[in-house]
Amino acid sequence: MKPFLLGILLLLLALPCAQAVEPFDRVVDLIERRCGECHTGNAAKGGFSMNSRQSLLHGSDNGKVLQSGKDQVKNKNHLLLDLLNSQDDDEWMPPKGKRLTAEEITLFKQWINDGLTWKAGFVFNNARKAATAYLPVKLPPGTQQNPIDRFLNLPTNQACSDALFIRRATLDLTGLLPDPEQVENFVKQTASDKRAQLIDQLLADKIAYADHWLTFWNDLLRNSYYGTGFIDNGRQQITAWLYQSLLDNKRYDQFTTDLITGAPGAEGYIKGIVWRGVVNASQRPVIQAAQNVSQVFLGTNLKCASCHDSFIDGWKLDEAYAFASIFSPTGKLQVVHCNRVTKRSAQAAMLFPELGRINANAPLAERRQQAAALLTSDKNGLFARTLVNRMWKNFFAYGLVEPVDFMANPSWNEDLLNWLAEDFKQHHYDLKHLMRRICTSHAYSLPAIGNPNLKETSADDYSYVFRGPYIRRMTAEQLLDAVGKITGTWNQASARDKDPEKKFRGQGGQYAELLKIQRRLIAEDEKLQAVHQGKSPIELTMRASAAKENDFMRILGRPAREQVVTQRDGLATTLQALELTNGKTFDDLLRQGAKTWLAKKLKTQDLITRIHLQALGRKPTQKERLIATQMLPSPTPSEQALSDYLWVLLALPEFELIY
Amino acid sequence: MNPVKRREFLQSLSKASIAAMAAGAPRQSSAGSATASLARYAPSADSMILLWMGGGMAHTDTFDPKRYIPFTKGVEAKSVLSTFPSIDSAVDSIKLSQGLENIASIMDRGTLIRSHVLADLGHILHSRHQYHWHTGYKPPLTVAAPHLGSWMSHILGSRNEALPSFIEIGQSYAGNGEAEELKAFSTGGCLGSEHGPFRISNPADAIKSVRPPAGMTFGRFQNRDKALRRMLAASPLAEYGSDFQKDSYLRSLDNAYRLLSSPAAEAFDLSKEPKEVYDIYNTGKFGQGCLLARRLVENGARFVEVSTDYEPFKGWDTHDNGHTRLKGMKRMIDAPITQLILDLEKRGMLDRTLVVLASEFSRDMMTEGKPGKEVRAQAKVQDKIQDLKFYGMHRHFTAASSVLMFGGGVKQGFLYGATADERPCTTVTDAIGVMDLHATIYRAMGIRSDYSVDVEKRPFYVTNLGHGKVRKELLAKA
Repeated sequence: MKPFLLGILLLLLALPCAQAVEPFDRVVDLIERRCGECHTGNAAKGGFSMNSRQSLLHGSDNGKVLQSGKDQVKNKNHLLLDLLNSQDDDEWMPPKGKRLTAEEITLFKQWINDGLTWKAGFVFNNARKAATAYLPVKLPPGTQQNPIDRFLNLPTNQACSDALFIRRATLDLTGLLPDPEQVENFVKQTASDKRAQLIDQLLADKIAYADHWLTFWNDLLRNSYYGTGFIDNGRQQITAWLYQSLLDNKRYDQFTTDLITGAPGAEGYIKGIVWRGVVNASQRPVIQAAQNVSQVFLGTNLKCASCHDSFIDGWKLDEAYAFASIFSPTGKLQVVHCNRVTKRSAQAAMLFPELGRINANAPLAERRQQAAALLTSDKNGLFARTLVNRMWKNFFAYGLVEPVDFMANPSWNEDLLNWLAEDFKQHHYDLKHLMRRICTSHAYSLPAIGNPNLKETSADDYSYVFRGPYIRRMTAEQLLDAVGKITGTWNQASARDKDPEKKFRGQGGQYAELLKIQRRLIAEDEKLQAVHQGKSPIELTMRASAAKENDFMRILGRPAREQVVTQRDGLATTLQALELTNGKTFDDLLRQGAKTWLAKKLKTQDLITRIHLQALGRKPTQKERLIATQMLPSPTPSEQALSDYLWVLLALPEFELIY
Repeated sequence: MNPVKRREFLQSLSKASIAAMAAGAPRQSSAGSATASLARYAPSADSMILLWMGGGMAHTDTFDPKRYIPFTKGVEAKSVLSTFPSIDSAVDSIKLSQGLENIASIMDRGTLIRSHVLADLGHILHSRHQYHWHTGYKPPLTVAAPHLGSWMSHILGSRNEALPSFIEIGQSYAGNGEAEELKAFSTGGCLGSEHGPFRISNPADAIKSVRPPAGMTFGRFQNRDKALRRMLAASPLAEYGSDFQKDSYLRSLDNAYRLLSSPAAEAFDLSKEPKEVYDIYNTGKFGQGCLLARRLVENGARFVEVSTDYEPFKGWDTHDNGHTRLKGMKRMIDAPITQLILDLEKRGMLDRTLVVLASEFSRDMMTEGKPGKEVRAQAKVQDKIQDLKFYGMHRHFTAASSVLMFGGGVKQGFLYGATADERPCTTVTDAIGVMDLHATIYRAMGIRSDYSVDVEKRPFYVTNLGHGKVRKELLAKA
């Protein structure tokens, strides 16, 4: 690869959630800030609207405001520039606030010279909001067993290998690598529905399932074991409630209701994060509640509208405040515009009024009950679609709607989205049912492909066409657990993690909670007893999802959970590579791992096969075996040689990526 | 193509084109065109060293001395403005507090700001103010705000492909009562973990972080890497076709290997420094950190922060014994900071290295918060001081604070802003907040204060809403 291209890759690697702003975006920002109040949205003072390029060129009651065409600044006929530069108090623009700076005027000039470039389809303040109704869809005819496949029209002759499938599915549903025996048995099996059987088995492993999905929901619900806010009792964990809910596969409507009403153990979600001191009006706990509920459960972003009417969609400040008022003690809130108190007061109301009414005079607890009932009602298709879309994204790395927190956007397959949402509702909001639907589809069995969204450099028209799951990167938790499987050394719980007595203002104690729940579950369940009998005590196999965040995990991409996180970094970083190459944590794990494998007293060739199967889910090729054999002298390799060999395998991209 | 897809497409395209533009800058040592086009201004500094006085450094006992009343039993607290006498500096108009004689001798190289006003955040929490200072934003907020160093890493990249572009020295987290709050801003935030800090808690151990793991010889380390390359070549992965994630992953491994095997790694090794120089710096962890920062910048680091290591009630966080403890704090910073500036000057690097010393706020003996808007006090004051331990600036004060700047295009021997000579010693002229101070720092580094990235479809700026105003008065050529 050319160095230049590598540079691009490297830069992109640096841009997981952010991108530099284009000149047009600067113009948009400038118009929003300085012209927007009077000339965008419904406002068109002097008959001038800047909503679209068309309206812009149409001009005002006083005629043309801007001339189109290249290099037009020399053309003196730009009312806009005249008014910006005017010395006449009665006509200069904008009439409120400071004059535009020279730089801002230059920006307009450049834009005029560029021919008033406009992003196709862009409209200021376009009143986009997601629809809430369910839209019934008929299942298309076809022979495919899984309904998903009938919507996608996929080639049936392609599928990933069994070995890849078991690795992918086991990581996706339980967060773990399959053991070598499991891989070999699965590959050998001949039953035609063996993939479906595997999915059922994986979903039935309650503990592994809950351990794995804890990470997903912690990110989404901002549940952190340690973090800001705790220091002043301004935050509360929901760990035990969440874990129990996952073990029980709690219906998603009930799960949501618990969070919104603040069921025992789930109170921390609405409580939010409260820092010491004075906070911006848009970050008070009630507004946080509105932002988080709308984002997580409705795929609707209220962050803009928490300060002012949104520029990116149709949400108004007053609507955000009305929704937040549901969580306020009085059912009312004084509306605050960009941290300035207005004279308006908001009354508790649903974000989407068509879902039903909230009694603003009812007591707080009752209002929260009403909101939960309306949000999770069988009329609210948006509730189901948002969740279905999140799950789809989780398994395919590209949502049916993108971005997943902007459900007002159209889907690349509306019918499939609607059908899955309806199916989810029909099956009582059963998350495992939805996962089974997805994972038993042929779509999920397809070979994984590279994700072009991470590197789109082509100027060609791009629109999404489903061709299979994208290759994904393990989460920090999956990677650490995989290392645990291979080295036999798992995360260690600190005293504060496992001793509720040592909890500090609500921080820590999370592992104690999980252990308590696990033990109770095992005691009640004979099947689980059989599974766990003779195995190491679960205390020794603490999953990374239950561990306190450390530097290693942070570098691997575990977020601080200060904000709602719906997507982890898709690309590895140099800091990660450094940690893997010389970090003490990782080095200790490798040495421990070498000891563990040597203690098995396997012949070198068996050792090579087993380690390879465990790490990569397949046997080594001839060439790979040759390299391994050179690294591991027979009959017994030294601990040092073996730990170097383990490093090589764990440093392979094939290990970290889910194909 | 429908409008939405089109817009997404354009966004992904802009992402790529920006990436392409900037490709030369970060780790490809060639072309730096991107830096110029992105940053818009010609930078006056290529690197920055932030000297962080964590805990609240009292201005009247350091860089802005006032009327000195020595301790005697029963001395009236409200009469005491400084607990140290003032001393002359190399600039006639600038007096400093006793204990900073070395820095005083180089004041002709720097700019002293006495009018830095910090945010009014109500009941004081150090880490919240530090968050604000380091990111420009007041938490909590809906976007994970990046650290100053992360912005520089993101926009300017590294100057030396073998070095991480944002290095943080000296702050410890283990056992720190505010660790979680500190971590909240020591992060790449929405710019991604690639731009997060490379943390070195203890500068004496820095070399370990860029050497093969303990107990591994370099030969073995190299062999291990060679084996990896062979295994990669043998991998049947090719059957899955070209894969961007794989390529970028390998690239990151290359970068790591490059750092670990590069001569630049020697920069981390303080034992390579001549003993007489090391001894000047060595006032402890902070002094060693200054030395490490110099070595890293010499080798091409972009942004280095050296902290006095904030921990509640320690260091500059003087809730008691302020006078006594400040003697030690000044001893800790005076010689190494001076040597850092002189060393940079001697090497001809001071002109292109911006050094900034700052603290999250100041302290006063009487006022907690800011005058007229006082908040719940956290330190006890005796009206008539009977015991030396009550003699000192023990309350948190946000209405004035001192910032010291050297090199990188700032004026020399320049004093900016003033505070009142009587309590509450608040800012009286040229008040400058974090936003404008940042704008000025970014300007020196060649970055527009309204540079922004797109987060959840809205712009997120290096200074709040892009409103930071450069104080050109501080810059030599603006």
